[in-house]
Amino acid sequence: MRDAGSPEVTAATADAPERAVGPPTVTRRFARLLRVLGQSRTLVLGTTIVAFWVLDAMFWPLIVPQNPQALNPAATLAAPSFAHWFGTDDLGRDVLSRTLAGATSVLTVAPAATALGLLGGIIVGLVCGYYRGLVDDIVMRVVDALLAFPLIVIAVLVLAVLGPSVVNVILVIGFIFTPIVARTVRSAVLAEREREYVAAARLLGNSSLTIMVAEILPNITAPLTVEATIRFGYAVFTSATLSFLSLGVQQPSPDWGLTISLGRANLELAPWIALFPAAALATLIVGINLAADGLRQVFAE
Amino acid sequence: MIPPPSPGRPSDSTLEIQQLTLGYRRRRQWSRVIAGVSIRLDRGEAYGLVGESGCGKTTLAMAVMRYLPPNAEITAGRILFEGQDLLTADAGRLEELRGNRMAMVYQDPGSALNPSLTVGRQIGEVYRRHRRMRRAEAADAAQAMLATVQIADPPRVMHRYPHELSGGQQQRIMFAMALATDPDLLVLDEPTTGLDATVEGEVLDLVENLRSKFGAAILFISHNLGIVSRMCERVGVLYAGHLVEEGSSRDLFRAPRHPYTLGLTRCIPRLDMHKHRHRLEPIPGTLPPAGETICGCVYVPRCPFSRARCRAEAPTLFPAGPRHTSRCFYHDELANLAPATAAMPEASEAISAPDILNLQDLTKSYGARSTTVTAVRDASVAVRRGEILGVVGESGSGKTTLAKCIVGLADVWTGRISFEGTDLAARAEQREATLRRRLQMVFQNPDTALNPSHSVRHILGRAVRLLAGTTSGSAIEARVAELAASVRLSPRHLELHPPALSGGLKQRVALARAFAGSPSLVVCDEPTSALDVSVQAAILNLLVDLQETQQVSYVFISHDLGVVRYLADRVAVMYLAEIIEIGPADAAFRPPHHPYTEALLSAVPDLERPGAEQRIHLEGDIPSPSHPPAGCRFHTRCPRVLGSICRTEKPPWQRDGESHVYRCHIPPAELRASQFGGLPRPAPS
Repeated sequence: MRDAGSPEVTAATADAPERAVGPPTVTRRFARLLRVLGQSRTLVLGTTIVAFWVLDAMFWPLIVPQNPQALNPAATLAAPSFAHWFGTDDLGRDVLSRTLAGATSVLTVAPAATALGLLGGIIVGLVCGYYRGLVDDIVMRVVDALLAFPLIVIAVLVLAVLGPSVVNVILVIGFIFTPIVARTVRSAVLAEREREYVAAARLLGNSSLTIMVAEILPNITAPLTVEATIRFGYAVFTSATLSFLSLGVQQPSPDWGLTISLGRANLELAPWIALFPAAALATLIVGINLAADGLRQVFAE
Repeated sequence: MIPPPSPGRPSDSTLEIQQLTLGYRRRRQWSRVIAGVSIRLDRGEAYGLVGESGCGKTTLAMAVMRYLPPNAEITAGRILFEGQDLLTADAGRLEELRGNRMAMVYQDPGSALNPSLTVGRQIGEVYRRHRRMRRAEAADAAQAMLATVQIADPPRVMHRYPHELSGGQQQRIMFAMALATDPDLLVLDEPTTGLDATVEGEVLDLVENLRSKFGAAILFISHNLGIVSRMCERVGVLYAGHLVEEGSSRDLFRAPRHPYTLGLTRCIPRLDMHKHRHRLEPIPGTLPPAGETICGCVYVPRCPFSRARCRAEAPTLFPAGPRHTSRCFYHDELANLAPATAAMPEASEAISAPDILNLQDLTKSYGARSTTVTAVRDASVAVRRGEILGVVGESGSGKTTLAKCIVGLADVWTGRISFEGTDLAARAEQREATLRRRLQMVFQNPDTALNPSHSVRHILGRAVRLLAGTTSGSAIEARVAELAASVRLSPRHLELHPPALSGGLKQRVALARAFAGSPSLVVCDEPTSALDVSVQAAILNLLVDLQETQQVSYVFISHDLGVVRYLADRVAVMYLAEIIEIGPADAAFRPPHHPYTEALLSAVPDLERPGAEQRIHLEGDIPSPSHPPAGCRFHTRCPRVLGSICRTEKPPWQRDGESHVYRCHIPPAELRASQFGGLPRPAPS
């Protein structure tokens, strides 16, 4: 495109350095980033919901009306009322307090598992995408094979062997996510490695590791951020599913998945026991997905 | 073919743009792109619109066709097509006009054609829609139109899909579609940009033929002044959305009356210019960003003649001659300016230094066994110390592959490359660090050659650390500052990231990076082809300065013969993966030379000699590199083909003078007799 006049190009010329108002400082760049991100309503709404649950997961001891573990034999299976806004469960524990406290476990497992999956995925994706060749062919076929299995089946199988524990859940989800993230990273790297700055870096004598980490990686942060957000949503979902199947956190944790599972027994008699943690889980996942959608829009623009 | 204008016509102009002002709205900000432009095209007239990228040429064309994007807003003015206002016309009327009476040919034919329809269907559709023809009728008409646009073998092309055709053929299809309804106005937006020189020549020939046949008025948009001066009777120069000068193409380019036009004509290296004799005059500064409010004349910040009045008051269009207007207070003074560029003392002595780079039988193929494409075949060429070797050829001739092999970015090749007396390994990583540091490259596309995530300071600092082996922080800092100064980057630019820089500044950073370790050879792969001419001049001057101060050699790859002629000491011409001519620039660009070089030279449109009489017409398209012709590779298009010997036997190297060789069956004495003219001798200094 030689000529311009189309809005994209005029925007580019508007950045002409002769007219730049001085070097951008870190704070100014950060402020600009915030302003751009703030333009997506979806993103703002999603982030607000997620932020609420993250704050709750950290500070619930300050806001819960009652001790989530306190038994009250006098008021079991009580319906929602002024005393117990969300009602009580079969042991007389306050459902509101347990719902607020239940965010902690899921918001510990999901971020840790996502981080693990990202780390593995970035390493595998960078290496495969940058080197191509035989290693890439083999690894990507293995990835295809792994992706052919329903994730939850693999998770259940592995946890059945390793035994149920929070650490194992994190490891398993991280492991399952690795090939998925690797695929995204690889395709981004494939496009990026053909750019001339990579060739220039080779001519300067940079090591392959430096080129992958210092040259290519910073330029694939956009797809990586979106992928991370989507993975985070799935991690919340998967960890709740595994708790529901009693393969993760154990009683008497107020974990949502676990509580829903136990609340099933009283579903007809006291539906609020399962309903409120389920609603909480739903808002968190919806919030994360809204944020992911918003990010994708922002990056697409 | 056109009906004579009916006597009742309100005006004799086909298109009249009156005081048009329009802009784009982006993020609640309105920025003006076209400011009060008035243009009038008479019936059958060809009007050229020139200017750098971002001047608003394409926006104006889109406004004429009413194809503006939804965020565009026309705030004033009228566009009259044969007396009717296009801006107030309703959708139905526009539809009718656009199909029948006015048509547009776009810059990139590859993306303007529908890839899922055959050529026949696409052209036929125009007839079916606008002429209400039946399918069979439309197909016949389409085929006839293909013959009119001189496409080889129309019946076969009818059933082809656009991707099966070459760029030149695709552009012919675009012309066929545009002319299908015999329009009165044809808008051509950079119709030959992106096409090879010889193909460009063909397409321009076609436009000239079609013009005499159809008699449509043409709005011809191009950044290439040579082409415009050849194709158009009248020319308008657009700068930052303002029409700064308008006149007949003859007057306007010979005796420009606006400093911007003067700047444009002076910053282009012409075929008779050479780095030792002339210095290019780049236009300082950059185009003001769209929407910026400017007091006084828009060109003031870049104008070498500006005075107090220019800053205070906006000039109007002043008459500067017969049908010649200029938006400059001092247009009279420009007329009395010295006509030529400042000549410099002749310092052209033959370089007799030892070879720094030597290629022997370099061959590089891509692809698996069944579909091998040989991108470079048996290339043998040497570069002496302190010399600039220009490599010219059309796209697909193997220039870039040659560059990649030299610097070590192509993985496997056969043959020998010796650099400073040492044989080089294929890949840069396998080469000795000291050799790699002394052999660097400047890439074609400044947008992708710099990592957008790093600041300029980081990019240069990294290069200094790796190429010069400097490790102490303060030494790196000092060297980065020195490098930035040597390519005329201000310290302010060091803190910026590449996306915030203009193309010219990016290319300066890329040059500074290549020079970080005091290289002895720099391979430049079309370093200015993505830049505007005013910026190109500055980069070329910089290349000359760096060469003189640092005693470095260049392999300079370009498709622009003017640029190569200006810069190169010796030239290698490539065609279909082979080097077909090597010699001192003076000798290679003057007869006797290879018929292909002759054709390339004749295809260069020159402001000084717009006449098309001496141009050589090459038949057909460049053959596919996967199935190169036997014998001489050029025989399928050669106007001087001798007979069967050209088709069967590989031509020998013919020697003309000491160091000038070319690959042809015709001996130099015979060529000299038939290739007269060529290019004028350089003007004495």
